[in-house]
Amino acid sequence: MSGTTSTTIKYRPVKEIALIGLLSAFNIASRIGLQALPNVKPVTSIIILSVILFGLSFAFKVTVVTTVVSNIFLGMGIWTFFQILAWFVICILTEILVDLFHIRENKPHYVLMACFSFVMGYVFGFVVSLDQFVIGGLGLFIPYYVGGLLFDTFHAVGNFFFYLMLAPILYKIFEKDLKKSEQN
Amino acid sequence: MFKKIDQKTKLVIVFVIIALIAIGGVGIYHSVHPPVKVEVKTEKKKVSKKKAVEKEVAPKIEANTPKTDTSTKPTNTQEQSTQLKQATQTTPSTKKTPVPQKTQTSTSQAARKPEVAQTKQEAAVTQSQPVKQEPSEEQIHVTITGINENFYNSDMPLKEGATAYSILSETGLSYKKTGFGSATYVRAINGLAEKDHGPLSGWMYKVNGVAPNISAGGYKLKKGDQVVWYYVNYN
Repeated sequence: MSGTTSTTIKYRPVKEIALIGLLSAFNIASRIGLQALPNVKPVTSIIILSVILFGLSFAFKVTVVTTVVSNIFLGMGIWTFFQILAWFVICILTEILVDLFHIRENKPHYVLMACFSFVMGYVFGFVVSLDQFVIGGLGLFIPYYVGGLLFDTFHAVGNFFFYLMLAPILYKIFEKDLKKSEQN
Repeated sequence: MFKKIDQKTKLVIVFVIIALIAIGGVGIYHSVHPPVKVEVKTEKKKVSKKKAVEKEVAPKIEANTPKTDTSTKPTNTQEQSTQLKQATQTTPSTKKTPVPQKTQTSTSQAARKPEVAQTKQEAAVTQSQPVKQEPSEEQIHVTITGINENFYNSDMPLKEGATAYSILSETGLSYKKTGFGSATYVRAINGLAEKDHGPLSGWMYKVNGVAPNISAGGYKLKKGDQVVWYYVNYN
């Protein structure tokens, strides 16, 4: 389905670990620094971009490190599992989208992808709300999810603007590596 | 799709799918056999009925306090809350001498002979200021109502940054809490704890007859406020 050439950036393990650390550190710092703004965080945008740029397994690693380490500061709980799961689902959905529309080869307009990350805000809210589905079934889940829709909207709007902000920056930073990996 | 995926990524995808299936399974099971659902619904109903509970509480407080106003007619909650306010205002006058008068006399005494100056803070404040202010302005009134008895019913000086929660430590009563700051939850006062009398029983508070919908630890008191802590939903 996908093109003949894989256009994700491949690094040697050491460099990959360093980059995972850097991106996770950015996510953690943003989660802790932007606590005052409900759900307006660049984390989801960063994860979507890292799926596009570095591939699925890299994004999984960023997700796990980000969630576990930032929840050491913000509070551990059952939601940690569901946050990881939600970002995994977002990673997989992004990968499916990327493969279907050849996003790595075609590079669609930033606004289109920003709209996709807008939708992912609601997906995240839905999956995180699923913990109430486990605890109390549908009767608990529906009021909980509907009550959180406003905050999902904050998340979605934040994703939209953070994607528009971060995508040009990250594409520019990794442009050289992207071209190098395309030649190989 | 997913052609160039390594082993670990496959494992993660399988994990996600299994987790979602497990969530779906447990969730559907809990939807069919609701474990918490019924309790939650009744709790919500009770919360919405809190005004009705207040109606029950208000006459009980009145019954405890010496009757001073008998002409009021209990028609709605607002009238009752003002009634409650009146009741709490009038109670100190019967239990002890009215505080404003007391402090005024003390200040006048202090003006005449300074060596008899009272240890009360209001006296000290008014002594230093040439213009005598109304002492009750710097005070708050606190009532703590348990089941059919008042644990505490008195005026107290308003300290800087006092919250509806922090005044509890100045009443001399024992209390238990969880959380801190604007997430404080008072579990017990004077040995009377939440859930002692029914699953929905517990402590609530009102300021000037209105129950604020924030934590007591986050409610900053102003001078002249009437704080009422009351026990609700007991059988």
